[in-house]
Amino acid sequence: MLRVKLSTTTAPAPAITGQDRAVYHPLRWLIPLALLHGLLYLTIVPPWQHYDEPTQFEYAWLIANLSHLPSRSDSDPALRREVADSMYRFRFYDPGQIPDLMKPEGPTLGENQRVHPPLYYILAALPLRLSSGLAIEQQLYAARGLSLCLYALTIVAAWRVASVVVPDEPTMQLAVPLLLLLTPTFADLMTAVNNDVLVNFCAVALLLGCALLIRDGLRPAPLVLASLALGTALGTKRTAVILIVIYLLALLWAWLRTPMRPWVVAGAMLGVALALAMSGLELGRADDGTTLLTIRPWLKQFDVSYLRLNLDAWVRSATSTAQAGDIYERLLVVGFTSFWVRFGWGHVMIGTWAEVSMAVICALCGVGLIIQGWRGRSQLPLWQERCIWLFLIAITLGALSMVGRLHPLPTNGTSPYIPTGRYIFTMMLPMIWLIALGWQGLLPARWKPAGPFLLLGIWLGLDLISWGVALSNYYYRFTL
Amino acid sequence: MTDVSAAHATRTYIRWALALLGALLLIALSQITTLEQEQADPSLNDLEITLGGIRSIEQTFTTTRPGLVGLGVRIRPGDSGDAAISIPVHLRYADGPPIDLVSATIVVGSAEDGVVSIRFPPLIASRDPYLITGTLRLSLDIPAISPNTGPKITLRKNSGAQGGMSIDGTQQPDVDLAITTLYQIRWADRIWPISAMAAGKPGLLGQPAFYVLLAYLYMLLIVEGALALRRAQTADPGGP
Repeated sequence: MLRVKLSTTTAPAPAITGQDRAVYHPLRWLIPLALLHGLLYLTIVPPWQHYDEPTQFEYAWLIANLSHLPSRSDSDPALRREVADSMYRFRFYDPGQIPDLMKPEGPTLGENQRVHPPLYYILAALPLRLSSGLAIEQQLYAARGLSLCLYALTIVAAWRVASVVVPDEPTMQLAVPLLLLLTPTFADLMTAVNNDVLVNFCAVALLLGCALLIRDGLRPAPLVLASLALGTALGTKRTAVILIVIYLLALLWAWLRTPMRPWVVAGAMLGVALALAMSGLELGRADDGTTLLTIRPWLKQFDVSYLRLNLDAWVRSATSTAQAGDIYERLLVVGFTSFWVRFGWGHVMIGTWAEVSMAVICALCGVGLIIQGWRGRSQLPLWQERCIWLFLIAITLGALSMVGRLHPLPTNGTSPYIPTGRYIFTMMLPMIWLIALGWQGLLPARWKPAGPFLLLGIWLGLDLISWGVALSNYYYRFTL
Repeated sequence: MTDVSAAHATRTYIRWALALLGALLLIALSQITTLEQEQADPSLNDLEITLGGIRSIEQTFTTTRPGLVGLGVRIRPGDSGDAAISIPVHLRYADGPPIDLVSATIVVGSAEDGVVSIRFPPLIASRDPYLITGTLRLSLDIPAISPNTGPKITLRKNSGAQGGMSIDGTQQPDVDLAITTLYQIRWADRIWPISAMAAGKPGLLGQPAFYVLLAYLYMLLIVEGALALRRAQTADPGGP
């Protein structure tokens, strides 16, 4: 789909300026569409039926109603009773299960979320202050309303990324934000009370800043945008740490605007990786005698006294072949299916056929991407090529971060926690980008004009089926 | 030039008017409800008992569909003085928390065709056979009446799976109270469970028509998006 260019220089692409107002016309329907689509998910999904929503809400509510930032031990038994009662009324619990409202500390609502930085919750506390005194569900919907706004802004930012990266392809400029908008798992999470919402918005804003930096060089506006987005994301959740690499890479490419030889890049990366590994790691022995990597004493000391990341256990676990078993296969299945076709608390599943279909589509688009890359090699402007590389690197980082979350594996025989795909929704836009690009690479020339329509049709179908599945899960089973 | 722009404006107005008309039509259609009564015809095997000396009658029953809006019992005055007797009635979950879903009073003399009814807002009953709250309990608190006097209430041979009856806490395994159930059926629920979606939600979200309108507007904008994509493709230098 990307247009063939004769130039491989770093000459800036045709800039879209504010003078051409027609460029912004799609926003007249894209923003209402995003708001409506988000509103549908916001209203279809019953209260408390998103990942950790009760405790995420509790954190924001405590900020709105206490005079200080809540500590991990702060709680409000009356709020907990009210939320648990609402959860009961909206069929959150299994049939016959009734929360104990009489406990002095109030019923348990789930995992304590006060381990996260408070930035998102401070924002979510604003609508809660305005809706204070209303029914608890109304307060929840008010907090979800903030997420809805961030969802719409994310779609607008995705549209802007598309207009920056492919300024001469109006079809692709609309297809990419529409695909993101129609992705059911993304829309579902982005209308929940969850700090992932702010991180995901920041990730797309950061990608926009990075794309502008790569295209135009080190300019103040994109630099401020990217820095602000990264800072906000880091202040929201630690899953945003992987965005630092993207930011640094974009800065590097904004600064070095001439082509670099591939072997120099590969050599430098390998050299840095080797130097880091040799300075911090050494060979060791596992309890069963197998060889694995451990961290050097100086790093262990630094970790114990300052980092407190339990690095040694992590490195041992990640490099132990004996302990891994089928864990990566499970990670792949859980991560992939929850990324595309499972939502709610991960319990609302479209079905195996949808999981297989998405796997086939992703695999085909991967092939299409290779074809597209082969055809378009040395024909794209450097900045455009780098943007695509940035997306690829972002997805790779996302996959690695999932592996990172998996370790250290428990040694006492208990089942490890398999992270779900929502932790890498920060990489949803790059993923959508590459799927759209790969799809176009897959199709023969005469089918290419219909390509975006076909892909959007598949996504729309997936979206509508997801509604059906959600309705059947939430309203045909639990209705009294 | 003026004619062209006037024609364009007219087309725009017509499009808006059609869209508005569609919205109004859908809202109107989503409001259509019908009442369906489930009532066994009077039978020769029906029994009548006098309420005198009884303190309470309880009957459990399973709702057969969502939208229960009314209940009736066959009751008639024993003599002319019974018509003014009021009987408090409660409807609760059979196995759920002791909270009244409905609390009302029936007056014996208000019977129509021998049935005294109460009406209440729709209870969206469960379709899930594993959900215990699909079964409800109807309780009648009988006022103090001398034994073997007072209004007569109809009982029916036990039909088996529909629940159980007790008089003053004593199970009556062979008979059930002859109750009539009234369901409100929303036409649009057959396509989209809007009544269930709105049930228990606050404000605008509690209005079934809201969901219809939302989906309609979404579909309109999807069409607008598809048209915009088509226009963009035509404008695309690489397009067809």
